[in-house]
Amino acid sequence: MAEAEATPPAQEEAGRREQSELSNLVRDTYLSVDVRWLGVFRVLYGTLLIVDLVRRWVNVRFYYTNDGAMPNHFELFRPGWHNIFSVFFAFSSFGEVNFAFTLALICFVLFTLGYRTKLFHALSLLFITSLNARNLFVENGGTIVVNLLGMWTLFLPLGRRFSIDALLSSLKAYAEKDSSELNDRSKPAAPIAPHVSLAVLALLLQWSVIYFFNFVHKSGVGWRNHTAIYWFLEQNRIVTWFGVWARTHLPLSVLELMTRGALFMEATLSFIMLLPFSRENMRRIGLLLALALHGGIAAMSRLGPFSYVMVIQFVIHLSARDFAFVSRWFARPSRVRTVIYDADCGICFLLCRVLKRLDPFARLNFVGNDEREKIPAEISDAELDRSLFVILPGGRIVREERAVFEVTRALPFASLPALWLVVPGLSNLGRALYRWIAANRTRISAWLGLAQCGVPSSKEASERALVAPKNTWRSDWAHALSVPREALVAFMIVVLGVEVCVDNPFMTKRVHVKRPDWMQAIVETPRLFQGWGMFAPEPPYEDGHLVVDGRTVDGRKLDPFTGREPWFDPYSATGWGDDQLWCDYTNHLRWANNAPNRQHFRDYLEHMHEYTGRPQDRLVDFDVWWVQNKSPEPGHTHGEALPPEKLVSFGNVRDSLAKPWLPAERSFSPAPPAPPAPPAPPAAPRTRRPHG
Amino acid sequence: MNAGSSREATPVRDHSTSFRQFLLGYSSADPRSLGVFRIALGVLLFMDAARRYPDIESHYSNTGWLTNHFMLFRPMSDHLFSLYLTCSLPWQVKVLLGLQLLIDLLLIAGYHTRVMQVLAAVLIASLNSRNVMLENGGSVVLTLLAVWSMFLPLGRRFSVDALLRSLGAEREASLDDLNAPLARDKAPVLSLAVLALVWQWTAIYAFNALQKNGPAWHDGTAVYYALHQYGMLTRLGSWLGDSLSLGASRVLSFGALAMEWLIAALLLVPIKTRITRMLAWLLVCALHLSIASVLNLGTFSWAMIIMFFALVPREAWDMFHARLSARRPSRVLRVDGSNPFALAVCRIIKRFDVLGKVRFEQAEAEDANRFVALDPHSERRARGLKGLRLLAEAFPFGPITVAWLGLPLVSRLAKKWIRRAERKPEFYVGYFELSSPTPTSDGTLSPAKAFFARLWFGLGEALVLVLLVCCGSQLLLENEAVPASLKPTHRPVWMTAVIVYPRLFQGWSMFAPSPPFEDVAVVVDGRTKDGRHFDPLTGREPSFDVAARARHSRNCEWYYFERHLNEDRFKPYLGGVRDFLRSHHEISERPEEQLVAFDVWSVSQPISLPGEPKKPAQKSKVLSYGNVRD
Repeated sequence: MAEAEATPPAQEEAGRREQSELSNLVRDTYLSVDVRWLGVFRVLYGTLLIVDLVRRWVNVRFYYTNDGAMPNHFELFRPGWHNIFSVFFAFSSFGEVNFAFTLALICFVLFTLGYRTKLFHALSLLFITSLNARNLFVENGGTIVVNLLGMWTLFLPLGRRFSIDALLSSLKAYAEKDSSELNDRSKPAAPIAPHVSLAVLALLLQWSVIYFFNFVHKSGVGWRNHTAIYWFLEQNRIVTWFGVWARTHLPLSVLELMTRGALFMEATLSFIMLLPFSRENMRRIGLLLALALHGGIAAMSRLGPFSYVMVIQFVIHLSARDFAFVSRWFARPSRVRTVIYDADCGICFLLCRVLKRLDPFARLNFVGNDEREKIPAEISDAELDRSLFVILPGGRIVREERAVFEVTRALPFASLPALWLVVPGLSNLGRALYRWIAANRTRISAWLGLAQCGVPSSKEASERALVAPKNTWRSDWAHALSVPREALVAFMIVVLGVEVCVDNPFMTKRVHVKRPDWMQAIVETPRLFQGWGMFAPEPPYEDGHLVVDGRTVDGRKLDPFTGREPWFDPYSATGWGDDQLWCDYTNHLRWANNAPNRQHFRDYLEHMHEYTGRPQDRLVDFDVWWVQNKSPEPGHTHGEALPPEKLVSFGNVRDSLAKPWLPAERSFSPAPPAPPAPPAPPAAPRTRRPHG
Repeated sequence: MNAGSSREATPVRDHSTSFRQFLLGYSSADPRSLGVFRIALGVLLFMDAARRYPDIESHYSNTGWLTNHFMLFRPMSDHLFSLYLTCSLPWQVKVLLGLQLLIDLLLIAGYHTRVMQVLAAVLIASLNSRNVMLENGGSVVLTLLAVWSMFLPLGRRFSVDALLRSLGAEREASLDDLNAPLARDKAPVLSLAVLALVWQWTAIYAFNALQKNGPAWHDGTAVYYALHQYGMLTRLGSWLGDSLSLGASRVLSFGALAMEWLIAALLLVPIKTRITRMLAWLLVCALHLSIASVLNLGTFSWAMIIMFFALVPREAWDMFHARLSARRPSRVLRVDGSNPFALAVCRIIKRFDVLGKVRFEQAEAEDANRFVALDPHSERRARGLKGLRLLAEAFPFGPITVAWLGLPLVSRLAKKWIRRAERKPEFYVGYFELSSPTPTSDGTLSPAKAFFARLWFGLGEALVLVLLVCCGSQLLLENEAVPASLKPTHRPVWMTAVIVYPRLFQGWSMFAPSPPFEDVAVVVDGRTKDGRHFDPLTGREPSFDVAARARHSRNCEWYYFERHLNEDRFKPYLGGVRDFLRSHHEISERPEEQLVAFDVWSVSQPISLPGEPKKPAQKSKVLSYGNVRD
């Protein structure tokens, strides 16, 4: 105490300044995020959720209904985990599950558009975690990362920019009355202040943890001798056409280089985002590395949403300068347009107000048709009353539906949905539609209650800042909410930190943590696991796929999943073309501990002809085999064929096509000659679908 | 929270034609009645969900006798949907039940009322569908009430929604504006859903009366038999059952039957509905309060009663308003009319002042920035908390509403807050972002909004119509009194689904055609690992005396569990009951009660009429575990 009192004031001041600089550094580096990038992220993440849902919807009966291979009662009877929860467990039949998928799609779309963003974010998180928990056979690292990203970003204001919420609050906050106010882009002030939250640090730590453990766990021979990418590309289950091309054309040395590159990128990504210096550059490098790493993985393999979700997280951490850099493209002079609108038309003025808000780079300049001095003389008064006009940078004037299209060209990503307006034929339809609307615009304005030039009634005309001022109930309420929110983030960091110590062999060898049951429930229920070891410690050296050796009611041999005769040769020059869901499902099905689940796969095959509407394909007996081989050593084209494993049977298959491949029938050599195969070996189908 | 809007000023319906008058009389409801009905419904839904909390481990989670996976594997009914089936562990069920309770509370408060109505209906149907064996008339009636009322605007009065709507619609800018009467929402709600509720209740009473055609109802012993169902009797019911003579039973039985017929008839009468329905309500109260006092039927009696809140006519409200207005004193509130904060407070006070008893006046110079309540008769003045109490005397239930402010810590905080508000009004003006309110807009909807409102209303009415048709066909199908020729033979599956998913069954035969002639109980004759005889259902030594044992029955869910356990349709679920009894000690957290062997018996005790010798009980073994030697 005495020492403190003795401290000279200058030193105290310097100490305070130092402390303040440090806290600023911590805040700016680890806790701040640009709200515009959060808006961009929301659109990307929402789109990912929609795509993920739609790809599952294609085979919804097989994976998610009680007609399929994973009935809800069995998933609940024999859950993979103690704490399992899915809203989709309440939906059993095909119709019910379709209803649930529709609800999920609505939530995802509204979240993407940013309507009541927080509510639909929470609901989207509920639906996506439920979807992943409904069928654990198709869960993989990618789905876990989707859950995690949804959970962490729930604490961030994703709807503050580029959302319907932002548009509506902006329209309410400031009511323009004429073109000069429309052209005044300072009002209403769009929020650009960075958002500060512990959730940003949580995201940085989360991604560093993912890359770090993925790196340190890759300790096997394949990674040490740098052939891992080679083995990875030999996985016919997941390889894409590009992967097939790469494994066929690229020499081993290039593949070894790619392996080293992958390891280097993972190692770098595990810390680069956390570096306290040169923050902006480091995060740009991080994004580029992630694009290279995951772009490569996505191009060469089918791993579901993994690659995409890993990359989009990096968008959150981009800076205001990055936004300005990207803006250059959207704000280039060629996108400048002058919009001449009908100042007496309520709906026209309202649309201009909306356009102003959809135009963050101020490319549109509004001129009312009553401002004759600003309008080129070649446009007559009569024309001004009839149509919208847009003046392009070169001075060219366009009108009607073409003007609408040109307006959308000035806005980011808006021209795509308006492209049909310039397609010959369709453009005539667009013109007719435009003319009808233009002719009825007064009536439409009156119908919408906008007869008075679109200016809202006086009660809404007060100007409020979008950001709540200090010392009001709004700011106090926001502050009061932020305390438990940040506490919850801190709590989740601790819980998932403990999970990291439990799930990763690298940690369990060094630290022994005993986790309480409630912590386990918090992690397991929304599927927030933290074990990271993709293709680790070794890349896979064996490959396989599922073959159904079936006999139809009319005596044909049929594998209903390919629509062709069963094909037991494990060699494929082009890959099997399986999608991620099928690949993961069949891979889980073959495991001995999942043998009880096979009865439902058998039941599905028995009834499959009912779902496909092909009674002639009814199977009277069938065997389901896991056909496998060792991946070929470098320099070989064929790997050693391993005996197929019978997974499940129905009836009595007397003329099994698997016989030539079974050990009792023949011996195996590393590169076997072609077995007595059917006359014309079928090419692998492009995609395998449970419905054939 | 008696808020209103400008709807009163513009009559919604043209009363010129007699048909319209008939429709208004027959299928309309007063928004105030709907507001009170919402509160009653919310309270009942809340109570129904809350009372099930103690039985979560036994009836609704995988620690109980009916696991969710078995319910899904072998559903007790077609078209089964329950959000509770997603929850396996007790804590998961507790979280969902907590959510349901929260939604019921928000429904009571009337916050986002329409959304809460839908959620509350989905959740109560889910709770009932989770364990179909426990379903009873009360749960079905409560679900029906929640579903039919989903189509009614229950939040137009006495709700947070109404308060906010009124504050937004009418913006008083001065003391004169404040003293102008507030147009409160009294426009009647004309909807098929009102008709549906009336017809639904008519059907319940009519078919319950029609199907009571067994011998016990003919000779008047029905009530006697009902009062010997010891598993479902209250204490009063037990006492009455023991002391009831046959003569009294006849009076009560015929009385109950007559009341049911009369209620159905009164509800159907198309004229003077405001009188006939209130008469019916009186009878309903008499009938169901009597039933509730002697029989533990869950929510049945209360659900039957509260529906009539929705049918309270406008005249009754006007009469109630006039009487209350005569009893409540007038008050004056003196405030600074130029202070936006004072105006904002007064605007809220005005909306609670449904009787129009408060007059707002400009405060004198020495009382500037203060809120001074004044009794104009006695000239009594009060400020602060006392002033608030004085003011509250003018409101219906006002003194009760502000009573909590008298609690020690609360009162100190309230006084402090009021003092601060008086001392620094400018702070609160800024803090609440208050500005002088702009004059009232005309409040009319744009044609587009009106169109979508009409479209929305039309869609709702169309849905009610579909539901009416489905429920009508279900009524014909389920009730034995309907001749076979009237029963639909080829009903589409979707109609069945519409009925069964939300459990809107229509078989009305409580204690019909006769009440059960025997009392049934389930006895677990168990042996604990320390050698004691133990029945985990009662927590005592097993007793085969049905009457004595049944007094330990806990609630109507357990009663129906015991009643249905021996039925063939529930045989597949006995394995779950065995597992439940084996692990019962884990739920009770008493390891010493672990059963090493047990037999489960269904004991049926025929009820003897007075003077008849007591008949012997019949036992049938339901299931066994281990070997119970003694």
